[in-house]
Amino acid sequence: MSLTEEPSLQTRRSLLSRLRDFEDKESWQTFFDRYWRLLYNVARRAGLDDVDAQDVVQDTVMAVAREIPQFRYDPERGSFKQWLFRILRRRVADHFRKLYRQPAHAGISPEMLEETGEADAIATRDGVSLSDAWNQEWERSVLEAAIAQVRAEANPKHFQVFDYCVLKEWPVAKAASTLGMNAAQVYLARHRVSQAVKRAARRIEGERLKGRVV
Amino acid sequence: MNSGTPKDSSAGAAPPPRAADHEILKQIGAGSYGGVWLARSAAGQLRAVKVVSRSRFSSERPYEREFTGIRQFEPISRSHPGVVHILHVGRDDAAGYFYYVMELADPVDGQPGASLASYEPRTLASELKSRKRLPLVEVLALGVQLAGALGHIHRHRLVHRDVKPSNVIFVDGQAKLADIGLVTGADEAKSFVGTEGFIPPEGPGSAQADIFALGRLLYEAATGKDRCDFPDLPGDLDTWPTSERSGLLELNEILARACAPKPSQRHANAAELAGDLNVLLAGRSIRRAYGIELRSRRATQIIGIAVLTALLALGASWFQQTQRRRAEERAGQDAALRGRAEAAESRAREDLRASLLNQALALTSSSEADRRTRALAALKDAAKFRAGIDLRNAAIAALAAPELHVVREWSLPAADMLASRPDGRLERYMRWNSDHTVSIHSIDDDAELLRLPPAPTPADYGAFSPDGTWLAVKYHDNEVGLWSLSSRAERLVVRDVALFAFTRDSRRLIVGGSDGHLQLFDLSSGRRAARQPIGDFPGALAVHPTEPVFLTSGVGRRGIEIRRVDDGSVARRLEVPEMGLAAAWSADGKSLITAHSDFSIRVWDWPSMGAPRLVLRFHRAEPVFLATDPSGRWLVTVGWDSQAFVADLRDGRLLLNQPAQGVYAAADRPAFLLTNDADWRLVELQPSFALEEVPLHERDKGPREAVFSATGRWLATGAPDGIRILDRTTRDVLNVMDDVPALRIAFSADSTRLYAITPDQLRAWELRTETGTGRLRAERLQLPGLGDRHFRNSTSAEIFDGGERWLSVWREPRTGRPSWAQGRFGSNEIESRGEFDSGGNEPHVSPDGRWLAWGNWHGRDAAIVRLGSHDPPVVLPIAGSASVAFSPDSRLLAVGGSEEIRFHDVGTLRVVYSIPRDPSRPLPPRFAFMRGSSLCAVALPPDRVLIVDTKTGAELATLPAGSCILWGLSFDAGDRFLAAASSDHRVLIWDFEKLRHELRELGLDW
Repeated sequence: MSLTEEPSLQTRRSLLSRLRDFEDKESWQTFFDRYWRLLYNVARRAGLDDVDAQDVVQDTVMAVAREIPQFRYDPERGSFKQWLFRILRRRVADHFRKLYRQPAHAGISPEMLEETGEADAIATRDGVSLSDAWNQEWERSVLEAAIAQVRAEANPKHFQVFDYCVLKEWPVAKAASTLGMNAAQVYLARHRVSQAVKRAARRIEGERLKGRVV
Repeated sequence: MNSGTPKDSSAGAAPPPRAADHEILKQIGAGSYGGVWLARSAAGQLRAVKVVSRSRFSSERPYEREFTGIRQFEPISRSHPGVVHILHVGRDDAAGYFYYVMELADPVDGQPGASLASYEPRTLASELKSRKRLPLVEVLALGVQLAGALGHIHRHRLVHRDVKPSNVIFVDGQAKLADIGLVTGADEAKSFVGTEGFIPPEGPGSAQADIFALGRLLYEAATGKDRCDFPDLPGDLDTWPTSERSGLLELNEILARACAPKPSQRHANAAELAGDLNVLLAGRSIRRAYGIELRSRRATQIIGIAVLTALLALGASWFQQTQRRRAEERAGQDAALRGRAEAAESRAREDLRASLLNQALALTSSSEADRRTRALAALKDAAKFRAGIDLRNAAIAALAAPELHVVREWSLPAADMLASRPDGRLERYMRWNSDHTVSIHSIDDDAELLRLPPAPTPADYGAFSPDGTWLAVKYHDNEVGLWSLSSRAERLVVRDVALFAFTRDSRRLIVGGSDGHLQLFDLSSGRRAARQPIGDFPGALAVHPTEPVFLTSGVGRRGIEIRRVDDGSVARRLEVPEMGLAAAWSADGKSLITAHSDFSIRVWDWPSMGAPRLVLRFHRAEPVFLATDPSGRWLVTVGWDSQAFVADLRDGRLLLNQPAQGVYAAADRPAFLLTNDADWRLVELQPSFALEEVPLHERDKGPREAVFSATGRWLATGAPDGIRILDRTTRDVLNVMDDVPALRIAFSADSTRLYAITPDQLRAWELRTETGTGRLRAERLQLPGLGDRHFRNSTSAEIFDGGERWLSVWREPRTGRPSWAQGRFGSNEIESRGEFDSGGNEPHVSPDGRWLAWGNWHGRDAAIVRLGSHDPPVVLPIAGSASVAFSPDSRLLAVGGSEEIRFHDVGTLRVVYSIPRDPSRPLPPRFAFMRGSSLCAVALPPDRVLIVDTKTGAELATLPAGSCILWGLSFDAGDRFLAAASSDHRVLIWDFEKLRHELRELGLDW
């Protein structure tokens, strides 16, 4: 999975315009900015097309906005990550049911579907279970947030080293000559920024599990 | 419009405003505070009128503040071409708005006034929308213009707060900063506005934030990317034309600085940013400008000019000579012509001499390699035309300049440079070759000595064991292979290695793993001897040169551990804030040197490890290489700023700097290998010649006096932090006293005693050398019968007559008058006494004991009186603060003032001669006379010592003393060494024998 393969700006704009009239703006705007990509990616990996995936994101965001006042972080009852996944999974399952109109599922409420564990049986396009796809996308989303944070805080030249050597996987010598640095500087800058990203990811993950929007 | 919340954010349908002398044509923009209208002035010019409505503000105050802001800004806006001019500010209270008339931006379609109906302002945003990105030259010109405009605003204590492409408009093709509605006083800018991606981490509202935003704006303009992508470089950069590509990478350096996350790391002000952009615009390299010390560049330029002048002069000389010969042949006896030719030739010779002298001076003040050698060569050539004090002084200055002498310079094949490293003696180096082999070459001549079999992955670098028998090579996949150089066999392979080092006995390899563990391997068996956790990615690894300990640190932590070589266990753990990535012990093992992320280098006394003894702040980026010479005195550091700094580890004084990206020290001589990409340079550090600088006291506690013992072996210094004695043979320093300031000090004639006058009493020590060790010992003596009362309130004193007699000066408690008494040690009798009418500063008794003279630091005179007589003192008027000294034969009295130095005949008090002095440096001078000849050294504070011939009054030479104020001066008994106590805690010792020998060689002795 490459970090550069991202849903387009177009998708974001379209999603925002769908949600524009949703009244309770304060409650979902920040949440939307942080999580829409994660939700959208998982929906797409589950096999939904662009329009259906946008539907799922829209429904999920609205559901979260409604339900988030009730969410309290409690280690016993599970993290925000699991809670959010449950909401998303329900929407995805709904869509599949609509999509295939399977008679076997007629009359079965999403909640029952969930209880029987059937939603977990939804395989993604790349053959992993939905919850594995969720975990992967969650991690990726945390990593992206960490990189975005470090991008703003790191020495710009160090970040360029990281971008070239880690994200773009350039050889050290090429990055060094492009940026006018020597190899030792490049190695150290790469290491520095990688460590900073790891630290930021740990922190962001911790916060997000507790349901804080970071 | 930074403050106050608008009630309604939509523009609404406001009626057209009325603006004096302007016809309102149509609304062209809407903002949260009102509208922008297109208008035509009475003179027919098109203008923009911005309207700010009171109704959009919740209360009166922010509205009024906005109005005041605009009124203040109006004149400022018109005094810089990079700011949109505000032409008029008006107000209509009845209608509830104020407005201001501005220059109108060019329309997007480029034809002003062509179509009013479709008018849209041409902004940088519209420009980037249609052109994606701008050519580099345009970006630079734009940057210079806008940085200039920001500088102008900032100088008036205003900030813009919303620098972004849509706020840069073009008026007659000129880029200008617009939307001055957000300009507000720098002190009042509190509320948080601005545009995402242009706001620095610390928030908007400061000059530093405007610089950040301008950097982001230039990033968008130059790369065509969104500012939020900063600092990503364009993905298709490889396909750009070479000039655009290299230009962007140069600009990248400036933008990385302008958009640094910490304000302190950005350009200090907009003018500095404009200056950097101008450097690029002028076609010069900013990478080089950031990297290379400007001083040495300037020197090179001066030398270039000097050599050119010299060549021109030589050409002129040859031409004139030919002319002369022809004139003689043709006209026979044309004396006038010959005279002219001769004059021209002598002028040419003088010009050549002057340019050689300038070349020498420039070299001496530069930091270039071989600066001293080259300066002296130029002076030797100049001396062939005409010797002179100017050349001699330049030669003395050059001799005092330490230099890096280049032993060999060579270039490595470019592909291999990054992986190459020298051995510990700088005799061989390892090189990674593109055929995946590692070869070992001689540093002398590059001859290949050895080649190891090829490896599957490229090598990163390698390290030789201290005894030179092992080579550890780190490969690209973080494996380290240990090779025995005698058998060319790989003994050991270690995986996931971050750092490694050999122990000093070359029997073990210490490996810091990226998994946060430390491993020790036994080289002879190849077995692992120990494994210990570090708990972090290893940051620094350094091995003590003699003790069985080494240092480790972790990248994410603030501390260091000192560990035992036998099992890697922690012996000590120390908190070290901002610990960086490098540490080293000095080669003598007495100092630990650490590099820090705040760019400093700290030097700690080992093993006490209290507070750092020195904190060196030379680098403009984090230091990563630390190396010392075998004596542990010279430190060479290299940082990410690609600069090498050479410092004296005794007091942290910076001696030299050169561009370099890496440095390695030789273990057996003061030699260093400086690497700069593929260019390698083996250099030897040559300290000052015929000049020694010894730091003996604490910083800012400069000694006031430096005196030699009769044998010349001991040099004692007295300072506010006490007395030290330097053994000039062993370099040992004896701390005689460190709790009380020493006013004056003196050795007894046989050097068995040291006397010191302190603010409350006279003290004496018995000096003995220990049998066996030869170390000096000082034992405090009780001095019976000295009469403490004479020293209890001493303000000054002197010990003379080989330590037999004393003079004490104090302020009489009853009368408040300065008084003096003079006596002999061992007797309670006072030989003479008196009072000073004026002055009384630094009194001196003539060596024959007959006269007492003193200076006056507050008046404009000095005075002399015959001891034991009842004659009144003779006052010798002189400009400025005066000081005095007698010659060894008691026949001359030197009096120094701010404008001249005079020598009086003691008998007649007639002025024998006078030497003028630069009155802008009026501190009183000090004197030291040679005993066996007629030379006198005159310390002229703050920075030089003048050598005068006391027979003729001729100035012979000037010894440079850096920028320290000089206090006491003295020659040793053999007249070979001159010691000067300097205010910056050092003692300077010149060796006249070596100095004059060298000057003779150059043809420049006196």
